[in-house]
Amino acid sequence: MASLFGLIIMGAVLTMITRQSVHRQTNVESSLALSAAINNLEQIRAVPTTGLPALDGVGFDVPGLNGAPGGLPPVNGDVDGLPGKLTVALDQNTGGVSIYRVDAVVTWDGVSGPRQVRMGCLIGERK
Amino acid sequence: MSTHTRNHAGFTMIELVIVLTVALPMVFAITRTTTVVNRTVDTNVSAAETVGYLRRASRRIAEFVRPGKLSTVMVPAIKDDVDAARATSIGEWIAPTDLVWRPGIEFKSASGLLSINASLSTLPRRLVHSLESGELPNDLDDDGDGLVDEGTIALRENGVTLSLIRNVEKFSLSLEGRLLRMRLRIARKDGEGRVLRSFLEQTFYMRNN
Repeated sequence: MASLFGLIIMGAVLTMITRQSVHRQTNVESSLALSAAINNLEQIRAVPTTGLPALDGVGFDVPGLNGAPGGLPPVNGDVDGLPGKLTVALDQNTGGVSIYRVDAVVTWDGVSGPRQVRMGCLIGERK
Repeated sequence: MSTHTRNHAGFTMIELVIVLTVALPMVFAITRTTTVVNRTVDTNVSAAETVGYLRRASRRIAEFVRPGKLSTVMVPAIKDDVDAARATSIGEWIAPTDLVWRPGIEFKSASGLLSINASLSTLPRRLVHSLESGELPNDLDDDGDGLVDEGTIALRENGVTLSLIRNVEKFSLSLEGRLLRMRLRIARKDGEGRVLRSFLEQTFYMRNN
């Protein structure tokens, strides 16, 4: 009886360790995805407004912890093999002024299953 | 006169040996596992703190860099600049060249005092990686504390130096048009003296000319 009880405790503890490690890895993955999304949105700010629609659907990579490419694996079936994707849509067009909604979405196959991070912003021509 | 009947029944030596044989390895295993769990939790907490610290550091630098005026940017010369006659000595502050990684930056920012007056500037602000005493920029742990080329990112303005971020092992910046790319590596020690490192490459869009 005591042995069984001990085994159950050990099993629970080992499960907790595994869950902790998965949680840590998931945090690291989310951090990488966020960094890549922010970087791409910053880079898009340097693109002329007229060039924004052409970026719709363009994929991007997520660098790893040491800056090397391929930090996050894309989900199965990803067309371009890159976990990141930009979406650009016209949000408002008034009086000749166009404002675009730009989203940077990272979808990857993480240690705790498929995950997604999405960051968006509105971009218009600076006066 | 009364007669006491004492019960001398108890555990035999064989019973005790059997119990100890079963119990001792279990106690040892549980103790060992608990130690491993504690270490794992400590490592996870420290790693999460390091990543969080790095992100806060990046945001702190962004607050200074984003309003920077591109036309006022100066950078410290490196060996390639001296070789190309763009500077006379390493560390001399010169106009930037695109796509070259450098250990610091100087710029003026829109002051923010009058939002409608974008031409109003701050004094020059300088961000540099300032090494701790005992460390040299040689990719080695010169002071034997486990950290490599560690120091602080210092902000210098109007003769005042502020330490913005500590435990910085690498800090370099590269310009490409209005985009300023930053590489930042932080290293920290956890409670058991293990060194945890975290790296970030972040891009900032410089808003002003």
